Amino acid sequence: MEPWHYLPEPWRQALRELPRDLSATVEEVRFRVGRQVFLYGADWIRPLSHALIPDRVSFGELDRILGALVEHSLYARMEELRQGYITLPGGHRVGVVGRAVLKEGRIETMREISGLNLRIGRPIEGPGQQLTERVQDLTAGGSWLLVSPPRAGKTTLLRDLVRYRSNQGKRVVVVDERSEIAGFGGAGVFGHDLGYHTDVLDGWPKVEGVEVALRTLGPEIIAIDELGGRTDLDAVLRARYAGVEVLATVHARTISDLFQRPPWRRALRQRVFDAVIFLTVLPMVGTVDHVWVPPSIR
Amino acid sequence: MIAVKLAASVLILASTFGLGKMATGPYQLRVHTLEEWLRFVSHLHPLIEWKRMPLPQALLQAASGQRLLSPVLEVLGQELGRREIAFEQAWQIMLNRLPGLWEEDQRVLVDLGRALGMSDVQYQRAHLAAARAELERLLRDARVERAQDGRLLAALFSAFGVMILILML
Repeated sequence: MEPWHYLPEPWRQALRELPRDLSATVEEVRFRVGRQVFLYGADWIRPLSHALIPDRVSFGELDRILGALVEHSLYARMEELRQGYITLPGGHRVGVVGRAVLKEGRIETMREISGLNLRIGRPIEGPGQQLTERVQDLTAGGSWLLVSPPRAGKTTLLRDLVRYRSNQGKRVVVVDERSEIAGFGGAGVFGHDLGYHTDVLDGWPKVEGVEVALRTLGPEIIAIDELGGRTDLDAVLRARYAGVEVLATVHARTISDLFQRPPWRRALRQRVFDAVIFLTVLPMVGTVDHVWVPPSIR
Repeated sequence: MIAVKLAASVLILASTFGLGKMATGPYQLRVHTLEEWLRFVSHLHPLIEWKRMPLPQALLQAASGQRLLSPVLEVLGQELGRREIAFEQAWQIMLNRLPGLWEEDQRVLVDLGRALGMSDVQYQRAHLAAARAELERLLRDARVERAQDGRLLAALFSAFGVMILILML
């Protein structure tokens, strides 16, 4: 379902009435307090204009929009909000900008919401298979890392790879910390098809999710989005030691970006990943720029 | 003639008794409504704190089986589902539809709706506990008023009927 469905009126109507070419290519809708709402595509920016919507967004309006997006149930979405986002059914992510309220050094909640960034998640089918055929010529290993700056299509490609491998008969466990890969829609409903042999640990932190997957679900492949630092990599390493392949993503632009981070340098030298795949947004989001295969350990 | 007088006196007694009952109706209704609200708040607490159920579903489930609250909260859930008006506005409309509430009850319930769902679990728990305490106080007052003013009105109407009867006879 399109993410505008979850917005309150009149925003929903304004976005539903977008011209077809814009609605098909829009990637983000950004609400900022005291500003016009802007639409962002891969290579275009447009203000959102409609007779029913205000020229500028107010604090009150942002509160109302956020309230509708979380079904007036912030208490149920606090863990996500502490990390600065909420996920909508269908895997659409809403980045939330506001003042952090700290308690004992930990972000307790967010106040004075001043911006919302509605990122539209679109499922695509096909590139996972093409990528598999391309990478299999380079390496026999199935642990792959997808690398790019934000908004280059890592999660979309990861999802398609999961579906492709799952439909090939592999048992896949997705550790979906942000509910973005499967697009959890509540009551066991997932927004995206992840194949016949996929289990989703929805909302599980990566480290705990990998542990549970290894202990109880007997996966052949574990998929994780947006790896962070040492603890995430340790979890990946445990999976690899257990003989499980890992599909993962990370934010970076080049291989040297990764080598500059000590935990990553060590992991890449240990061949935790058999292939590192770099994505670019041109000519379209999710395009494979090049594939780096770590040298063999002698 | 005696038969007519007898019939008229029965009629007068029945109607004044009925009027007395009608006069106590608002007291009775208020007590019932507040009892339902109190049950509702008690049921809502675990749905929010333990089940982390989305508010529209939690409201419906907490009100389920309650004669007065269930239908108006069902309408509220539908309105929230349409995402056309803000929660506070929809909550106010729901309160206006609900019979039996007095002004001070409305104030407490407006406050309940104002912060419902708009914070973390800890604050929701405190908020519901405060609302519950206020509702208990209102219910105590309502029961006292029903016992005192309600019965007084019923007695007055009945006495009025008897007085007319004596005058007639």
